Amino acid sequence: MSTSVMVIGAGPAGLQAASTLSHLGFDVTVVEQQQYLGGAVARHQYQVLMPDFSSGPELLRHLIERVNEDPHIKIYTGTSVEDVSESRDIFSITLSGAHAETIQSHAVVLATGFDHFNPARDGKYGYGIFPDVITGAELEEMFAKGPIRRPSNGEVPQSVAFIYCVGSRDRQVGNTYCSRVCCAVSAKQSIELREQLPKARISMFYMDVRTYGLWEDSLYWRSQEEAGVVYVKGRIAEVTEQHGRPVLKGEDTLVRGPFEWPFDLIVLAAGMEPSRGTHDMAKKFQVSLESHGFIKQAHTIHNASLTDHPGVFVAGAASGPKAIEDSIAEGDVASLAVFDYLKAKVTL
Amino acid sequence: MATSPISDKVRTSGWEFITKTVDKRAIMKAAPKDPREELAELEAKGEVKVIHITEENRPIEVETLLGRTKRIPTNKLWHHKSCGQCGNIPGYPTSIMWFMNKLGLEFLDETHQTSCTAWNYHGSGTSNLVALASVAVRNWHRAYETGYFPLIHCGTSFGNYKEMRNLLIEHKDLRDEVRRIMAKVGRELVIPEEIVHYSEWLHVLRHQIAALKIHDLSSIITTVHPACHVWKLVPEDVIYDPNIYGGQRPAPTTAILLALGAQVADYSTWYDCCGFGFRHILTEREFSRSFSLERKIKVMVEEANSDVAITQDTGCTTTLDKNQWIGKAHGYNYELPVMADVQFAALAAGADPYKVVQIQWHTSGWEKLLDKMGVDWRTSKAEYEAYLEELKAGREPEQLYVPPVENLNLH
Amino acid sequence: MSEEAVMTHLRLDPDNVGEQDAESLLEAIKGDVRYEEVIHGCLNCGVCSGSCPSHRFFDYSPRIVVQTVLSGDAQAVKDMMDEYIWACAQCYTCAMRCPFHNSPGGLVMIMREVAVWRGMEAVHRLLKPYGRVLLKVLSIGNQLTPDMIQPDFFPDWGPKIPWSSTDLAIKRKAIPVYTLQVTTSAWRVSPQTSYELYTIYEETGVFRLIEQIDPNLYEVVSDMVEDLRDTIESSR
Repeated sequence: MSTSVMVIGAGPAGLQAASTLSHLGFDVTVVEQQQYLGGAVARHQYQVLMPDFSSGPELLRHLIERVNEDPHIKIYTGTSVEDVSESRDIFSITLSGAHAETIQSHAVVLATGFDHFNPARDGKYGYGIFPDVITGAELEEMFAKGPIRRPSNGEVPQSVAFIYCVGSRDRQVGNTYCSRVCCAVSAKQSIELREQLPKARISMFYMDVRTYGLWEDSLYWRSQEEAGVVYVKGRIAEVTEQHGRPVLKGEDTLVRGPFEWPFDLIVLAAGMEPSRGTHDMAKKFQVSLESHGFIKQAHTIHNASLTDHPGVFVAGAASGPKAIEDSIAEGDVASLAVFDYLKAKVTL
Repeated sequence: MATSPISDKVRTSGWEFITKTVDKRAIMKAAPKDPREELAELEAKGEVKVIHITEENRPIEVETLLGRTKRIPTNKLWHHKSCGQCGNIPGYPTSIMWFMNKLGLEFLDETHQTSCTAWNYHGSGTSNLVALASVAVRNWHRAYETGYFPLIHCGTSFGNYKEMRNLLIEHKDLRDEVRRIMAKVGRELVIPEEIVHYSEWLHVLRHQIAALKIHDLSSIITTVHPACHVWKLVPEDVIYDPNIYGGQRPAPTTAILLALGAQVADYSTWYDCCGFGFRHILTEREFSRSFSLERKIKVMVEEANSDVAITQDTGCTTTLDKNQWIGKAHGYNYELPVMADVQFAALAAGADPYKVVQIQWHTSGWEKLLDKMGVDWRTSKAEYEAYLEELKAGREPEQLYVPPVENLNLH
Repeated sequence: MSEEAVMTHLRLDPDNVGEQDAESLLEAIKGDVRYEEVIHGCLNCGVCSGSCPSHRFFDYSPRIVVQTVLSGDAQAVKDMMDEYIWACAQCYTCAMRCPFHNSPGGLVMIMREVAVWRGMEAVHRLLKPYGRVLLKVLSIGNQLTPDMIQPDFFPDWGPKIPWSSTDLAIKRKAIPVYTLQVTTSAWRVSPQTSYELYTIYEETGVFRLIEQIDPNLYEVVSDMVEDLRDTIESSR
């Protein structure tokens, strides 16, 4: 009999897992609640990826073509997991939506990803009140669709500020963790912005700049050296509006003390939170969450994909904030862990 | 320019932006414990007595910052008056009582209350936790034995009482010490189910109050000064409403102004304090003056073109109102009337500007505002002046309210 | 900095006024039962100072207060208690914004309390303009009364202030709420209520503190207290 594995979520981690699982000899069903494949990369239409400025659409084409062309992979978009039961190590999974059927799976990979923190939950940023305050994801959409303009009046911004750690590292909003990628993504975006706005003032307001490992010079230094981006150490206290322009209020903790600074466009580096799908699936498949609400890795160091429920594996941002490159790597890690788990039970 | 505080602004660029529902409950995973739940547990164990909100109090439910429910009693209330208001802005408490009479609500205003003493504490440090908690509990117990639920007029009392409630719930040794002291004055340790500010009472009754309006306020541009001790102390207890600034700023005061049909304008120093500073108003007057003028009054006038600054607390009303005249010496020629939300509402509902709203105690010129609102203050002034003469001649004063004899105990 | 667990306390003993050794002051701050709630750690992010009204006007930063206390440098903390922390406006914007859930304003309050209850030199100077408020709060529990608004004290409040203080009794009588028709208190306070308040001040060391740091004020207050006690007790 064939051995089937279900992958839930069709972002970079899930698509990679599906392809690798198929290469390892499994029949794979990919269940995705949206109508499209590619997860956050597709949703926000990332054109240029952190860290290497490679093409987002090209990455998606690569990931999607592989699963589309693979006869052992069934793609169920517009489909959700309704109900799960388990008997003798086999999951019976009832689906709803475009493919309302019940599927037997020997193992499941949860690749349910993240949602961006909604800055409207933290009133001090004025997001949703002042039109020129946008999120980093919205900036990606602007990059995709056309020239950068101020949402309030359609004018070319002469000054742009990035605010770091929005919704991250902040007990006041309930997220005490670092979202890991926003510093580097903001640096990448500032370099891209410079191409469009050769004369604009671009300022980054940070508490720490966390451009890990090889991202340090390739993003953080480069943004200063090549793009003339200015970094100010000080977490923004509040955003208000003066004469139709957002004003940032804060303390330059190293140099100039208190400031009030108007900008034409404010980009909020909104952090990552466990997606709603991650929470729902954790509940349905009875896997534990860690204290921040992501799926708990049973052996964080030993193997990134193990949950505390045998037969259920995790890959990508469902288990914590991470970059696309790490999510894709975890798609492979989870596939190998599934292989390890099933090889003792069934003949391939 | 006046801007609407309602959040559903259309982004003019035509970009498709992500829209998601704001759910502050997501904050709950790291939320502070709900002291009210802990209070219920202590009550169940027989550790403390609780002043409950009953049917008679006709509570109305609202949501606070984290999506928790808070019940605001509207009837049978014990006025926990404010010394700063009664001493210096007497139209503040009278406007509250005037509305309670108008709405046929029952209340008790009597002589067995002290101030919270927290202004002095914040300013001078000449008190301590046990003394503050004992003063709070003494007032709560007095309300408890009358059968009326305490309604806190002052923002600092409101913030301080919430802190005291939380600390009493958390620390058994504090409870024991306060209990010991209460026994000495023949009282017990009691804690109210909710600590309620008058601005919350006004907020939940805003539609009933707006229905009493007789003046058109649609041309009046108001600016709100939210009081620090009302919404920054124990912030998770503050009322938010998705229709007010998208649920991102507290709802009370802004919501009643909108209900009354006035314009509410935003301004860039909305979050700033007034400059009161507790000790600064007495000992660092230069700071209070500069801050209130530079960071509040000037911005309200120049950015928002405001007709009136609306407050919700004691010290802010005084600081913003009293410091404008001296500004002329420094080239600040502003004359922005300042009054509490409840006074503004009372004017709109036809309360006598002199006898009830006691607007004559306010120093920054309010005459133009009242003209714009259509309030005939000239007649009212003449009547008031005649009334003062009659009082001098020995006439008994008119009363909105006189406490029952058993609540006086005067020598 | 001592790593030993600090004994927590609800209040300080007024008889320790004068104990001003830097280490003992820091110990008193860290021993306050609220200390654990007002300070957890510090990211040095500047949200508190960026939000702070006093930071804009004075050489004062709540971030520096938190960092100094966390550093454990008792002498530096003591130096701050002299004047620096008195610039804080106690608005608590810092507490509402701190990503660590610190309350720099709450920390300052504890430091002020320790400075006063240990009778630090600067406190006498800082409290001087506060005498009228203290007298009222100690005798009737009100902090502001109608008769305190006098043109001599508030010349900068403008030409309407003399109106407020002329014929005050009549103007107060014209306020249509019975309890407010008084001039020397914010409302009529029953003697029984003041009597109870005195017991609270006595039991919590507040009277003893005032006796130590402002004997002249204490003399005035204690006369009032005795008179009222006599009246109440003889009427029983």
